[in-house]
Amino acid sequence: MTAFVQQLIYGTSYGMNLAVAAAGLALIFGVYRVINLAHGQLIMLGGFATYVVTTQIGTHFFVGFFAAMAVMGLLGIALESTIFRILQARPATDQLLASLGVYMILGTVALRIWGDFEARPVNMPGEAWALHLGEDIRIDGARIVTIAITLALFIGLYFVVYRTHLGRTMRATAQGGETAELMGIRKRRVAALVFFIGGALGGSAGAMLGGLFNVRPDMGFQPLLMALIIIIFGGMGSLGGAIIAGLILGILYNLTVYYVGSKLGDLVPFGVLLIVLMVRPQGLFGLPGRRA
Amino acid sequence: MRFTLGKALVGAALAIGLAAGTTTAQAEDTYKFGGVFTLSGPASFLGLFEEAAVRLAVEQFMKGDCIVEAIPAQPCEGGGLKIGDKKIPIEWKAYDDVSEDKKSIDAVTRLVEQDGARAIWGPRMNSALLSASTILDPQKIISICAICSSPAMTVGRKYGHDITDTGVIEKHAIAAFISESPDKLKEHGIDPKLFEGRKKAAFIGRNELYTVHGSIGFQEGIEKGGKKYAYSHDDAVFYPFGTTDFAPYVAKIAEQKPDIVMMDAYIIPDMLAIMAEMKKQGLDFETGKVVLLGNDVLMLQYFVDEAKKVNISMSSGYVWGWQEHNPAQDPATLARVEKYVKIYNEKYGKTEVGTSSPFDRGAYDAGMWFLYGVQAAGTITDNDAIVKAWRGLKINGLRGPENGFFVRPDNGETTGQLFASEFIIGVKDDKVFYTGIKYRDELFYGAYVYGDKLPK
Repeated sequence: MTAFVQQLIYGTSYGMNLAVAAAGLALIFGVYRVINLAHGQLIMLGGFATYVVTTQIGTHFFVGFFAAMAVMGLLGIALESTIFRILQARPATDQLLASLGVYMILGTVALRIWGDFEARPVNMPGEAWALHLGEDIRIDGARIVTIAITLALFIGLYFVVYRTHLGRTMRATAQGGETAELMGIRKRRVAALVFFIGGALGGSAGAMLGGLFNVRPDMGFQPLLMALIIIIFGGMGSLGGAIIAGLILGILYNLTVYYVGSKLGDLVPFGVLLIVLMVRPQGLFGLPGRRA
Repeated sequence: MRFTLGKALVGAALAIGLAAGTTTAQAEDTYKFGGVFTLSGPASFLGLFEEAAVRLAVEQFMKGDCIVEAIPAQPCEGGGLKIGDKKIPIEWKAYDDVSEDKKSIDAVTRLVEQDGARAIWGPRMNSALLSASTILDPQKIISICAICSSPAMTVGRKYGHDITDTGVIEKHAIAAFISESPDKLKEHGIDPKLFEGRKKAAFIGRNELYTVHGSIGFQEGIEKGGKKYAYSHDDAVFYPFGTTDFAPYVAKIAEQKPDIVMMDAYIIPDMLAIMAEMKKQGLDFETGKVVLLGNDVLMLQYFVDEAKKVNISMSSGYVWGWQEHNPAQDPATLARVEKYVKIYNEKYGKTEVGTSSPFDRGAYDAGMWFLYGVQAAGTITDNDAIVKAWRGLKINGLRGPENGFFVRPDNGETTGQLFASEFIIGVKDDKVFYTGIKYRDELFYGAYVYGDKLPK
């Protein structure tokens, strides 16, 4: 039982990280209808931005964390205003391939700059302590911090999307871009905002992953893969769906590795993906008309 | 129409004949060989140095400054391979596989079919290597690797050459070490009680053929060492490529309550993350709760320094590994290494390839050894003769004197597998040191080391 609870804790922490990564992707897809594969590298670059500001410059983790969010948010705007805006009228496959190209370029650039040989620790609050529940269950302080940050991010995101004028414009654009424009909503401004928030969420995911583990050039690959599955599982464009699906996948992944077999962990997300596509293609919280 | 077609056919036949003649003439004028390496992406550190070292070997051979020597002696006069009275220039071409199997195979095909390569270096990845062998072996193309560490390179393959150890051979070595008597440990300045009371061993590695073979070799080694530890390959924990959170994998190891953990990973960020998680989950090698075993990347001084940066100390006396390269060099080898390192560092030190390490020295040895082998064969087209001549040579290289190929004890056949030694290494006061314990002859056993066919 203790092992089960321990895996639930690890899975929750992992799932929360994935949910943040997926939320950025879901938000951009919800409004802009593009699957931005470059998001994986925004996660990675978020980790490096945190490393540079926190470890190399020597500031507090949260300075690095917010710097990563800001820089990745701006990079998101840059990507939208250059590549995605130009390709917006083109077929979805063009946009997908372009985002894959950006993914490859950013990955190569990061590797050239930082290489993959070094330890890149990020000093995260809570690293030195752990909460012990009984004799055998422990929750690392850093994992508690990331869960708290994630919850705060989701509350903030909920507030922005559902309780502000900006959020209303985003939702209106998501429901119908042309109608929203006719109603006076400036679509480009909304697009820039969505890419900013999406990029910032990617950056925050990278900062937390970097804090929990090490910062490395390939750290965006697995979260991107899982995020893609999460947004299909949760319902394309659904923020709530991304959070719930992220948690479920994170926990399932950990339980499978521990109880079924270490080689089988990767089968879980893809198994879930297949089942969702066959049984409920709109995902957990997607509307029936909006299929993956 | 028929006349025109007939002329066209004759013309085409003549053109093909001429082209074939030209190709043959070119092939005799130049010796072409090439390689497939991971030159970009996260695993590029495994490819950049190998390609650089082989390229340097070609350049040094062309210059007539080979640094290392063949036994029996082979000329190194510059200008190319000395075949009879001729000097045949060497042409080297390398492709990047970006760590992807498909690109590896594409590059292998291109090298053979378009570039006219008579020997192929790589590919490194075991999965691609197996596919490549199906292209290369039927065409009698010589296949070489200096870092593949896979039995798939040589077992059951007439033209395959593995100029390093394999994941199996090296695990035989570390298993032999943990099975040593307390007296032998004491004799080499190691705490004789290091393994006292330790009964259970565990294994963690990335999910790939190299580590799967490694785990099998670890089990074989423990069995050969008298089964002092409980270990089964079935209990090995394998994590997938791209893993960031190692908690469930380390938990799976911790569940086995091991006294010894063999970490078969060579990607530095993976290794650091696993070690940090091991400490958190009570598998503490800093206090001796477990003995941590690792490979020659773990035993690099560079790695020890990197670990220190993330507050991981490897100096507890409970972290051990091996190196394939002799740390106690004789003066002649040291002189060769000194000369080579100067040239290598001047050429690559400030590039992304970086400065010299034991790994590129092994690749340089392999490159030069192979070129000597081609020369010794007296032909650049007959690969059967080249294989025979090469395997008949030894080399006084950068790894040490008299490196040779392993000879099968069952039929006396010389294989393409380096008869590699393994040197047991420890860490003290944040510095790696050689224990003086060395294995070689006792490591070459089992179906994954030699035989007519690699077990499935």
